[in-house]
Amino acid sequence: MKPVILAVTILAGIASGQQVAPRRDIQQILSTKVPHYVVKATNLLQAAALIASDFDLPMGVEWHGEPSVTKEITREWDNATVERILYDTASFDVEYQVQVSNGVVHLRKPGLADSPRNPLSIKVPSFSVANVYTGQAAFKLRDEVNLIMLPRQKHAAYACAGSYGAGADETLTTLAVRDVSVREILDTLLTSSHSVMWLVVFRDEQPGTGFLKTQSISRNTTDLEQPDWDFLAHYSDPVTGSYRGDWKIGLRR
Amino acid sequence: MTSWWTNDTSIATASNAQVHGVAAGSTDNLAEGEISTSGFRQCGQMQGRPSGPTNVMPVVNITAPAPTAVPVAQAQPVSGKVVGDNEVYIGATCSPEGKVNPQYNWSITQGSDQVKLDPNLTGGPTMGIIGIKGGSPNGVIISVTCTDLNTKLTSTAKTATMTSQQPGSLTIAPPDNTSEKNCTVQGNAGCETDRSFTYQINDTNGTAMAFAGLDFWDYITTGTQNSCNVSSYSVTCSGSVTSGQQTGNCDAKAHTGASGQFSESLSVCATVCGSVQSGKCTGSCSTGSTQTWIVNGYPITKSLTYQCNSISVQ
Repeated sequence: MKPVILAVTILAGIASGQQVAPRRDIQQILSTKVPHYVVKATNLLQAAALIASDFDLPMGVEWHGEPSVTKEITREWDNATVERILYDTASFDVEYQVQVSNGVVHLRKPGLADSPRNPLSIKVPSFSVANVYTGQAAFKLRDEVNLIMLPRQKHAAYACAGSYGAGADETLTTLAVRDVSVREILDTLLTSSHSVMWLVVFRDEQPGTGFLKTQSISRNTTDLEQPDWDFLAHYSDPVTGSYRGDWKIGLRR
Repeated sequence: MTSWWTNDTSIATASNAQVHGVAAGSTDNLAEGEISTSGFRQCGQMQGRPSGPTNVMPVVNITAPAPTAVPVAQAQPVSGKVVGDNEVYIGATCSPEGKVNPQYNWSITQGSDQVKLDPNLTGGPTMGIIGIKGGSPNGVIISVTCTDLNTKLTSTAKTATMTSQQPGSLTIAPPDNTSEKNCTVQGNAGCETDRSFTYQINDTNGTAMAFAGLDFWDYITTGTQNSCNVSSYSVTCSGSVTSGQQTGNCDAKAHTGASGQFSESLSVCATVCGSVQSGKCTGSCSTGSTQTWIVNGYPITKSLTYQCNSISVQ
């Protein structure tokens, strides 16, 4: 069956009244020439977050292993396009490849991304959210994919309550899709928001479901929360978990 | 004096009794002309050439706008990592630019118990100020001088005053909307109340903390009253909790924008709330909860009361 994206709507401005210019077309961003640019990073993941933040470039990253692994990148460019900067940076870690699709730059290991055990390749029969923040939609997707991975009867319940604090760059989104992969839904949620990256970190351990195990960078992910992901705001550092004001003002330390 | 000059015009020039600095350094200033004399048996005027040393000092200026506050973050309760923003940057220039080889000397004149300097930026024109403890308004003074490494001359100091802000409270900012609709909870029909508003993060003095990158997440525990039969809470960090209560399994979830605000959405869906009629849930119940926000590592507590037609926050 042909994948269908029925509707995607950004219903309101981003969280907490921040004003951010609409995101440009990805090809326009990639072809932008930059007079001078510097990357100093612990590894490719951190470099990707820096580049994504500086150029408002939506990225989907499937990272394998420890996010803080040291594989340093130091490079400067003069009069280079964002695309050149991106590919040169990715060449520091030959295990990863750059691929552009769905308006998102994907950074992933070919063997990992193509694995039938990768939960991001699961086709979701239908998924919809209405007027919820990016992170809430991402949580709902996670819970629905978890039920596909591990079918079970839910506990009986008669009430639920809660709270959701939306971070900078999250948007209220309405989305309805059918027969699309988890990866494609993450792409759509990302391009509908002002976040710069969705990030899935794969661990080597295997959960009982047979799918590759994932781990959020912001919380301890349980088996009932598989697969897990994070949406990163501008200048959020996936290696340290910190907001990087130094990146924002151009300090590359 | 009819003529004025210096021995090194790359450092200073002189004319009409005025000496103008060109670059930091030392030279002699000279003048020549007839000097009036007076007194017994003196003959009016005599030719003279007095001289004296001239030192041209470098001048430091703090780049405007300088930050007036610095946020404080402490270690997250579970991981022990400091992940929220707690550094601001202050810049300086040393003039005459291009004529000096400057080294910047940053120091904390007042409030060294509240902030520290970023050691990675020592000597440079930009310094990071790291908040370590909240303090009173304008309790921190940062000082900077510049030294011209060619001449070893040092400028006089310039200072900037700032407040070290530790998260202390959350206040509700408009818009603040409540709505009701039909819902299902695990297949059971119920009625849902939603409330959404904006939280402003304030410091322990009640002053808004207008910083991007303040980290926040929350957890909720049920009080003694629970006639809504709430068995689980979804919270910012984990999204949904299938059983039990979320108690702090989080490092960092979300960051504020530049205003130091974030949007909060509260909801309750309960079968005892009935269904929507004329825009209102028909049932009645009340569940009291304690919500703890962790903002830059600091806990801020709110009392929540979930009811079929309202959600109150104290």
